[in-house]
Amino acid sequence: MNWLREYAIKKWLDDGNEISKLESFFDDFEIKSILEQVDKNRIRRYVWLFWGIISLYFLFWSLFFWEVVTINWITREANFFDTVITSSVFLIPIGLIYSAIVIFIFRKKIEWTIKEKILTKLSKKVYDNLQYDFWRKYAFWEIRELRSSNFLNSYERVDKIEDSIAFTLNKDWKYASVQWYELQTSEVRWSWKNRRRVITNHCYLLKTRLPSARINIKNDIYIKDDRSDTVWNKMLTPIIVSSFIAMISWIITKIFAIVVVSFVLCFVIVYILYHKFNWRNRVVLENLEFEKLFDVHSNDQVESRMIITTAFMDRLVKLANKTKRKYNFLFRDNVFYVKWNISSWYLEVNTWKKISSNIETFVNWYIEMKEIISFLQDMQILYLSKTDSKFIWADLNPPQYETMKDSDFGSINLGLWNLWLWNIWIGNFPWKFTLK
Amino acid sequence: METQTFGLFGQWLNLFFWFWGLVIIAVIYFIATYNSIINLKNTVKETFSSIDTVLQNRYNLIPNLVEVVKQYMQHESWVISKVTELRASLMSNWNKNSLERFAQENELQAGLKSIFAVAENYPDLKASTNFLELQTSWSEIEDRLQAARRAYNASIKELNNKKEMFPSNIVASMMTIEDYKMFEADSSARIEKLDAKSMFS
Repeated sequence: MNWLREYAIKKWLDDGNEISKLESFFDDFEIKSILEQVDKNRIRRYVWLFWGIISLYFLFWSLFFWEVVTINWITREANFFDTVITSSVFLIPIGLIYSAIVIFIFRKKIEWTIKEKILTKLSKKVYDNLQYDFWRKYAFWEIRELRSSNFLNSYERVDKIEDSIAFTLNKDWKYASVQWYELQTSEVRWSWKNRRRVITNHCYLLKTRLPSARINIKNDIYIKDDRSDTVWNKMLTPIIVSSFIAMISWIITKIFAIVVVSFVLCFVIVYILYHKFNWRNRVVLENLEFEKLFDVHSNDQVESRMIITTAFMDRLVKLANKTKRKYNFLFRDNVFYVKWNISSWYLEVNTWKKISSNIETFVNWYIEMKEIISFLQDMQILYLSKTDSKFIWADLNPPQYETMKDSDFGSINLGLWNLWLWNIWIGNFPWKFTLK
Repeated sequence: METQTFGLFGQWLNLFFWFWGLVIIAVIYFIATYNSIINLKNTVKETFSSIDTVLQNRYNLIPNLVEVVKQYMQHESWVISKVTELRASLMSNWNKNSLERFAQENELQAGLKSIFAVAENYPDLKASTNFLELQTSWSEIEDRLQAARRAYNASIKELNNKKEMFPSNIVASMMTIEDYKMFEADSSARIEKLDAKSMFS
């Protein structure tokens, strides 16, 4: 797969060993046969669609034709073309329903094949202890707490956990556990007609628990992606634009100019007051590159600097520049969260495009996970105790399944209900994915 | 005539409102800047006191450390006695924000580093649980001290910016603001090129 090497290099993967690993993975006989099976399913879908619709058409036509022939024998009236038109009219809705069913079945089959068989194996290549299971969701229930800390502030509701992965940074689950979620979330807004409008967003949320952290973090530390340099820069553009508009409007009408200037002044005052009374104080740090990319907020200036050392800042800048993602971080009670927004099609199997486009998606995912894990391993070195014999928690269990509370997820049950139906259809027992 | 008078009056009224509008804005700005400078001064004092808190923890650590190591490190008793003397001197100069005190703190830090470095030669001491706990505590204290110093330097930088930059320097010149010194690295720590070979020889 020559295109794979070029694609991986283009996507910032500069490690020759990693590229060779990827190539050998996709050149493996088992994986190749799975991909061939997927391609066959794609072609079978078209065959089913084509021949299915043709068969349905002839079935309807023949039914109408024989009906007309028998009527003709009795009433001596027959119109061949009427049967063609009538059968076509009936075919349209039934044909659509049939096509939807075929497309749905094959889509799910292809998705299951790729995610269950390929992604599960690929995750082991990313890291030995990566656990990915298509049918299982590793859940969490700190949504209210995350929302109260403004970490998930633009989302009022977490609808669904689309995908999740759990892994540990060490083989025996003693040091740190990581859970990674792809969330589908939505924001409820009221339009001018007071009707609800729901916007669906997607984000990734990584949750890392550090049971043997050297530093006990008592206050929240929130590192937010913010590419504006300073507060003044953020305000300068609206001020300049508004001044220009005010100047033009002064020529037209003075009242309009006064309205614009008043609006700008109100905006500036509200903005300053909002930042003044923001409950988390801004922590200004020494690394200029870091300051350009991130804003840090914390109630404790000293504790935040214990976590955000110069090495940490350099590492974050390197991560953000390499992946070109906008990351937000939150530290709370020795758990830290990483969040970044993604599009809804990310890591989704596209059953209409060639198989190589899906491989590109997974290669992207592989590279990104490698970067994140490398970052987490650096964090482990920075924040776990060096004399770790004291801090081993022998009874720490791997977070395989955690009980989900209905009230915390709102419409999460809808997602699970769909999943349950699908499992029934393909013969899995419902208890297989019930969370304890 | 009446129209002209009204027109002139209107202009004067206009000017009157503009003048007092500007005065009000200037007063609001003065109050806001004055308050922000006071806030920064208090932040500098607060961050300095957080350094003092961490230093107090370090002083409290020293007697326990001396008690544990003196049984083992008999040949290096001069290091232990030097650290004890520095501690006593610093405890008596507690509230002073002076260069002399900073220099003594750096010496004390160097002394403690020596103790932990020399302890590597004593396997019994290294294996001692008490010593390991003390070492961990010292490491935490040093991390916290470094963070507190960074916070202190950052708050001084903000205050100096307010003092020196226009137009807040106009307000700052009307106030009495003490000149605070930032924490700087010891001259021995400022080594341009580290010679690894000589360090490990």
